[in-house]
Amino acid sequence: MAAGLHGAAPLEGNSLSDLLVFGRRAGLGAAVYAAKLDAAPSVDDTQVAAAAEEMLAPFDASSECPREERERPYEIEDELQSTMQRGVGASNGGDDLAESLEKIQALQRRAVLEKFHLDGDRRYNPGWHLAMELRNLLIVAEAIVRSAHQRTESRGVHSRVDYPEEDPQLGGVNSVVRYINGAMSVTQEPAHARLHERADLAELLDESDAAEYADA
Amino acid sequence: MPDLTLSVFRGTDKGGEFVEFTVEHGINGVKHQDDTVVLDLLHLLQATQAGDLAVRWNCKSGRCGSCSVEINGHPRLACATRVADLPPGPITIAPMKAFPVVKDLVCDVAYNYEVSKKTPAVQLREPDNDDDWRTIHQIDIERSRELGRCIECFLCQDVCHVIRDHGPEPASYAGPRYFARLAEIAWHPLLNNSREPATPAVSKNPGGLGLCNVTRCCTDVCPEGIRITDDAIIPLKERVVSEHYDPVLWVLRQLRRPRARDG
Repeated sequence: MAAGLHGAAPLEGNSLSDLLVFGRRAGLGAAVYAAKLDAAPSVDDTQVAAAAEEMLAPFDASSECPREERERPYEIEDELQSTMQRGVGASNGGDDLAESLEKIQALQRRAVLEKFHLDGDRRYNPGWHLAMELRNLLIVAEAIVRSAHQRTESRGVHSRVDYPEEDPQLGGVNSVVRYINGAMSVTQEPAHARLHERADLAELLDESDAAEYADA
Repeated sequence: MPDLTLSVFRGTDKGGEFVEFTVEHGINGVKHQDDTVVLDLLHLLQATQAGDLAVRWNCKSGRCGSCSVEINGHPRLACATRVADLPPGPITIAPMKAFPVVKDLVCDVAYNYEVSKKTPAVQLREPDNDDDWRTIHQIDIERSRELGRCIECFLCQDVCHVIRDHGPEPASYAGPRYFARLAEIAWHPLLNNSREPATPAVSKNPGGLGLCNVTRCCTDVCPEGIRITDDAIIPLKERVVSEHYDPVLWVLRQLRRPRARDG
């Protein structure tokens, strides 16, 4: 997944062009991939069964977690929203971000599917949908906080009270988030390292841009 | 401010009942004397009292047409109905009556998409000159724009007594949303048939238009303020009359036909 390709630009409306550009690229890529296959790939039934079992866990009456100790998905969503609003909005410092990260990790420990209490059944159940969505919301929230924490500067919409100035060094690096086996890490990698692999994109740059990228 | 009582339909296609909920004043920042809308209350119920309450919604700003429900019996968008504007007392929230219930406040609105398939094909009219220009007048643009504002919330379909009383039957009656679309096409300044009296733009009874007896309920409920009755249905009815039942025009058409063949 690629995010933040708009750099420091404000986000309004950018997602619409992202949808078109990356939707097309994803579609073309999928078509090329599908054309290379000899036969339709088969679905691993054990994976499907495991996913279904995981999703149905909150409805499972035989779950060992007693009902009164169960979490409500809306409460966790509400806490996540206020955490992000207070500690990860515009103009926060490293302390706010570190504290927010701890809160998010605490929410991640609580947002386990089999621990949720849900009303009703499987049909059109927004509480259940939210329970399944929370895991991804929490991963993205953690990625945002970790990236913001290691970028010790203010640039565009990313503004840190403890680092109010732009750092020219950091202008040339991307924050790369990796999430492997449940553990997340952020590294800084040169932003234009792979531009030479795409002569067609390099051609689109005007002279001043090209000079800037050549330095990087 | 007193607490609010909500009476919300809970059920499925198999049936259901109205369930009462009490929302305390000030809970979760909801203060129902200000800008709180009915959709906020439904979300509050989901978060605190009924996690599985089904309601279709999306934009929360009256643009997407998803959260159509009946509030105190009136077809409204839940996101565009302020609690403060409702009369004091319990608020009743029900799914749209004209369509089958899927669950709680969510209806199966497939009928409306079936109806849309009847929309006639159109094409760009011939240019006015060799430069590929087509002159259009501001008044024609405004008419199409007004009808084109439709967000497909289907509240007009829900309130229409023909659909309400006789059921959503795509084959016999298409409803006000379709008539607005048809009028948008029939008078569109860039489309064919728009000013050709020799070729009828509309059939004798497009989408069961004759069943509408102009009660103006659709205009009343339209959240976009489209004057469906005055700007779509009545002009369409007039057009049907003039194109299919006007004796003078009939004679004119008989006279024109051979000439058209020669040309």
